[in-house]
Amino acid sequence: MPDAWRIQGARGSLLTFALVLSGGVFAAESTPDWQLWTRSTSQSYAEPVSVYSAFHDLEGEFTRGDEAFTHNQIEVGASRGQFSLAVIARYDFNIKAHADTIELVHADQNNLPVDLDREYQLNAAFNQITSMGVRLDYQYQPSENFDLNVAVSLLQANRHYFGNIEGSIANTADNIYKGEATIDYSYSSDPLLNRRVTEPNGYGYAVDMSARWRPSQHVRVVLTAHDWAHRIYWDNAPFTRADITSATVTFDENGYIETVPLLSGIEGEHDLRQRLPARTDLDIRLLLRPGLELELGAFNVDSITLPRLGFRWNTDAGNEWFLNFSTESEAFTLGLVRNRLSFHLGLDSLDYQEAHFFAFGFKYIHPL
Amino acid sequence: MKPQHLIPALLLVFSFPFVSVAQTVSLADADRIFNFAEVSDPNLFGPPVQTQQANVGESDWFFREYTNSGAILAININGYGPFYSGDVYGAGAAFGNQVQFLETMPNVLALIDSQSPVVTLEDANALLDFAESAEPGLFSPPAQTQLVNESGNSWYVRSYASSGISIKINLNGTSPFMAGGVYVVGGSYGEQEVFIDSLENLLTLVGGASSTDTRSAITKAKDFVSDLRDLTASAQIAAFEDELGAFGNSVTLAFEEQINFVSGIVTNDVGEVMSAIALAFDAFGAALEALELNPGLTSFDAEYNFGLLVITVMIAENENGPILTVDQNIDGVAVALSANGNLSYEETVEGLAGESETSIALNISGSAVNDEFSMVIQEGSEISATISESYSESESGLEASDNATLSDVVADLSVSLTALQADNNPTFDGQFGFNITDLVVDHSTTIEQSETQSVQTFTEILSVDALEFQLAGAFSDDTENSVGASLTFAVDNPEGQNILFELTESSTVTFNPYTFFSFSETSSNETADSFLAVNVFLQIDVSLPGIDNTSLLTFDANRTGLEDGAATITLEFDEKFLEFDANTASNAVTVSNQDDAVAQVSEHPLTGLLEGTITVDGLEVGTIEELSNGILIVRYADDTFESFAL
Repeated sequence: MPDAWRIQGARGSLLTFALVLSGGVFAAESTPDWQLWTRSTSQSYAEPVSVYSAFHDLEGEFTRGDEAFTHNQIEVGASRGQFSLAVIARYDFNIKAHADTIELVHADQNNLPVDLDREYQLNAAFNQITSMGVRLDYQYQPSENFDLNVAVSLLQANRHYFGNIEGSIANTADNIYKGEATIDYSYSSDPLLNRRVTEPNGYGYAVDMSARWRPSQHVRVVLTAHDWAHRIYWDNAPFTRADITSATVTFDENGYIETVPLLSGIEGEHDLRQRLPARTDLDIRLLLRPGLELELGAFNVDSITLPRLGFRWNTDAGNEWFLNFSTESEAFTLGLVRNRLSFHLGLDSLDYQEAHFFAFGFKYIHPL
Repeated sequence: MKPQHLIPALLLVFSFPFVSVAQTVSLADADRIFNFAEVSDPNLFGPPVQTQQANVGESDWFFREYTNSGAILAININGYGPFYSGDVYGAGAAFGNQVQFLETMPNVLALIDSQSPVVTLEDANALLDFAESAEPGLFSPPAQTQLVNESGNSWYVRSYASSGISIKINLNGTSPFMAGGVYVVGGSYGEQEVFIDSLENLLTLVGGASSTDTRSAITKAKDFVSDLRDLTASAQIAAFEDELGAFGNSVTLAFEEQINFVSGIVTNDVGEVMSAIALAFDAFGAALEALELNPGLTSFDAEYNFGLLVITVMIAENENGPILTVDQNIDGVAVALSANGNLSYEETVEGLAGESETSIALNISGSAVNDEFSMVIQEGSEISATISESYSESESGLEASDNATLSDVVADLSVSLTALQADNNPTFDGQFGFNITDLVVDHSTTIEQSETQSVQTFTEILSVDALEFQLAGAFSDDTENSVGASLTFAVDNPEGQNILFELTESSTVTFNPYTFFSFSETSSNETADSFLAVNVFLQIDVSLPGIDNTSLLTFDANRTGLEDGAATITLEFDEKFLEFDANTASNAVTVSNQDDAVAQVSEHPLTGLLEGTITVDGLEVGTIEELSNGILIVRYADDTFESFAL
């Protein structure tokens, strides 16, 4: 069957379409022999503060921004032929917030003054999961010009933090705040109200897709979709829904006082379905001359898109070096692929405490 | 299946006399009857289903068919025989294979109306609270119950943003709704109310998970916390008057101000004025003693501070005895006091030892004023005392001792106290009195001398059987604020014990070379089981903004150990009370109210954060926990929570 037909036919369903688009960037190389391998990847980006600050109480400089994420994964596995099986550990955290919200929290954490009489929007959604499990990769090559990789992870999650806050608040005088907000969150341990709970168990899955396509000798297209499908099901996950108001004291028509609490709500347990957003990465490589490729790419998660431009060199010694620059995050990523070892590091600042973007990858393959 | 499966209420419905009159049959009335049947006998008429309409036997029918029993309950809409419009029929199950006439629709509706349950807000809240805790996904955030009137129906309603659903409990059962019926509307239920069950049945079901007692206790606990919060807000009202606008400005005297107002007067530095009055009284005593020895004396100079202060007492006579007057400045205090009364004085002397007994009874009046404080003693004030003294001295002069016993001191003074430096000159007008029983002071001095040194030892031993100080009257100021208050301070010896406080001072002088060394120490024979009892009792009429104008605050503190004390503050208001008990021994504070709701709070030994419980009638229905940011969270047994803070 002609390749073009295969692609044309694949457009019939979303699943097949995703399979076509997926690329085996992280998949083990297809080999008839057994291989042991280990891999760790970490990718973090924070618009409003540095990655270091995000993990250290938001200390440091603040830039207006509304999203941040970190995705970290360690795997140890074995491959043979088209299959690969690995033990996997993950930590993922996405937060999407109104810039006012992060600015307010940043000011509070750093004892900075808050603008008087300015209404700060409180709007944030947070999504955190720590999980472990097994991952099975299957690599399928319908033609010599492209191959597909589907990976299914069965996950057991032990910690999560998931929810949102909505409202607004204003500082009408020094340390006198007025506003209202509602917060609704599920958790393994309560970070806000110190509720003592039994940590719930979560089970679920993640499906990654990747495809590599070589439409000509000079062009390669790699597309990956991490967490293309992702679900964690929590049994009896603790939750809290709370209302916060500064309008706590009123008087009725007879002059009698009526008070409401600053904070009130309900706590309980419920069954929860949690999902991480899909992360997609498109990578197009154009062969400029033997041994040198131009790389155009873009990474996307939620409303964050980080385009990049770079080059790849293949040296006579069999090493492949790559360097790219992300125009959005202003980060450089330098990497090396050498035989059984690959490594990359990306930063937008040489001062690690100032970096808003951090990417790290390492993989080692040990043939048996 | 036989008809005896019907519950008695339904049998009553169906046993009314046969009267069949063609009438208009509405779906709403039919639904009321069907709903009532389903609630009354859910085994026969269950599970609840929707009303259907069909044409059978040349007439139209409303009917419901029940899968549990196979019964059909039907109401004829427009029949003229053999089935008649407005009649209720049953078929299947207990009714057999034939369609049986049961009752006319008006009679059934009348019975439903007569059996309409009384829906209380407490029951409605119990069900709605349970719904919120059991299905927070549907019923959140927690809402307040609203009373809503719609087209002749009154409802208790709570609406939930999470699902768009409202839970409605009908109060009066105007057609087509059933009084006491619980309905849901909105969200996935659509715009038409959907009947769920009767409130009574649902409360019975809910009872398995949360008993009526528990629900009631939780409600009381929440009311208790609400009262506490109201009072806290009221007490802090002055701090945010500006935010409250007109009402805040109309607050004439905040609770906190009132407390400061009273304590400001009581604790103001009255020392100089009281010392001057005491010196004047002492001069009166000395003048009376001199008058005993020298009848006809018209003035007497009492010397103090080695002659640096001389108080001149003018002496006159009336039918009640001598009139003594002091009118001079005493240590910066302008004193104008007069006393009229008698003194009896007896003394026996043997060598260097002697004994005396003095009884004094005086009517006194006048004033003592300095820059900070004014005390006016009104006419009719009395003071009386019996003082026994003894002394002895060795011939060498190296040993001496004396003893003074105030066996019965009673003062009953009508006074006016004004703190002149405080804002608006707060003043106390009322009774000021004290009683002292057996206040004993023993002094002894010994001197040991040798060629090289001299050692002098002074000992003072003090004991008192009972002492009480009272202040009762009204506190007011220049802005017409007025607060009634009384204060009592009492000290009592433990029964059968005599608590002694001893002061020992010793000084040693060596002559060659010259050195000087002195020390002093105090001690008492108090033990953990035997110590002076001390009580402070303060009662104030307080005005609490937004609460009630006749609130009464009582503060009652007692010494409960050598280093421990317990205090109780009771606030009575609006036919309720809150009692705060603090005990230093247990490091805990307990707050209780008229519903036997009790909050017990103590500090965590490691974190120092507050923690505790709330019980009602001994049933624990909540916990209290202070977060690291200082917010106090109250968590209830129904899974709701609230902060205590405003």
